[in-house]
Amino acid sequence: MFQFFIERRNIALLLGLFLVCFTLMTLSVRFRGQSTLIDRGLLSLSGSAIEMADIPRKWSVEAWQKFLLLKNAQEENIELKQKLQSLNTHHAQIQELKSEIARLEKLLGASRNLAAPVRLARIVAHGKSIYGQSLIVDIGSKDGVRKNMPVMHQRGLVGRISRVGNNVSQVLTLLDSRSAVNVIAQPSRAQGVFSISSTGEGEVRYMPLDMEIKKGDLLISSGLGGIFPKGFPVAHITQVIDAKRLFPKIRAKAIVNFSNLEEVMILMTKPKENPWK
Amino acid sequence: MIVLFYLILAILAIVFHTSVAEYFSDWVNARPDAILLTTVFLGLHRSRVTGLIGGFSLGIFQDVLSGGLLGFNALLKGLIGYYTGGLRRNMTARIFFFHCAVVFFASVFDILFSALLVQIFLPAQFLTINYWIEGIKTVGLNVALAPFVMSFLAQIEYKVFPSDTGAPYAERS
Repeated sequence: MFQFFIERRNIALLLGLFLVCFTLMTLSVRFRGQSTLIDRGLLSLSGSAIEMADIPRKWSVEAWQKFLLLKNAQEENIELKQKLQSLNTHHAQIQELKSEIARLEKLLGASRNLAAPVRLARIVAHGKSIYGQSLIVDIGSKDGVRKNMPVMHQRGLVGRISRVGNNVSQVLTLLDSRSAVNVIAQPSRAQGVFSISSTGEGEVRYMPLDMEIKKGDLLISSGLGGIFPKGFPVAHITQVIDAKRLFPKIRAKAIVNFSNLEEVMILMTKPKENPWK
Repeated sequence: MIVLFYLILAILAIVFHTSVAEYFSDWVNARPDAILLTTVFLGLHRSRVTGLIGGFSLGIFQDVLSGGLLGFNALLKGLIGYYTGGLRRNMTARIFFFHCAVVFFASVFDILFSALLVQIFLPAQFLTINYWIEGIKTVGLNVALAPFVMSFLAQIEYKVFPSDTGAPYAERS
């Protein structure tokens, strides 16, 4: 019998294959959904192989997921950098707005004490000629601006409107040699005229000798002349020279720093075309 | 030593079948049958008996891993291994077309016999058109991979165990 199978080994193997496989399939169908002993045995036997087979899959999936994460992180990084740049721009804009609000609040605070209504104007250009410095502001005749209206800053007097356009106006500042302001020195109450000399220095003329004038005294507008209202700070005395002369040479410096002005107030008074009349 | 080589080969085939072949599934909605390719290689390079035993063992693992009918793939792969083992006696050259042809017929047999076994053991199971489409794709993938896999495995076998490779083909005997 055994010799018979050895002689017909191939057929015996085929028969064995069919027998085993059909038995397994029959059992598998018979106990469908249940875990048979053969199932469990084979599964335990193939456990290591399954784990080994799963390792590369796990690795590849993990590597792929990490790659995707890295790719996403890179994209996210670029996006965040762009956002950060945008936020930086916004931050700078906010800072600018904050400083603008602070400046405007100060201007508003200063304008509360004024008798006439005030219009805020933004300086759009700085002009410089042989006479001195002038400014261009962004409001004009259509906004009610007229010639000779006084221009102020919360710190003091800036100048007056010299030319009016439809949308813009030119301001003749105190630093222009054509500009002159009648001033009173505090606390001596001595009167004089503040203007810019041909050399570009601020000076006070026609201030009498007998008054006690000293360095650091504040000069305020006197209100004479009909353009500038009384009591606005104009300049500080910086130097008194030749005190023995009838009219001593007095040097003064304007209170307003014209180089960093951004906004000014225009006092909407009813100006005289010729204030001396 | 040759047993160790075939053991490693079997493990690699299972690894390929359960992991790498999945990527083909994402691309073409079908996967190459690495177990079948390995069984054909075993049959062609060793003998009927080795093909049958190797095919049966790999098929059992395939059944366990796939969670399908136990013995299903074991029978199919065992038969494929057995008959490809029988083919090698008649071959005089290892040619590209031969590998493709053997794998083609083996794959077609696998699909048709699978359908038959399903009808016998699971008559309630209806074979959809997708089964046949996927089957055709699997045949295509197997045939496309066959010459590369066969020559690659043969090269490794020859280089690693030159004395143990036996005489799978006439010109090597």
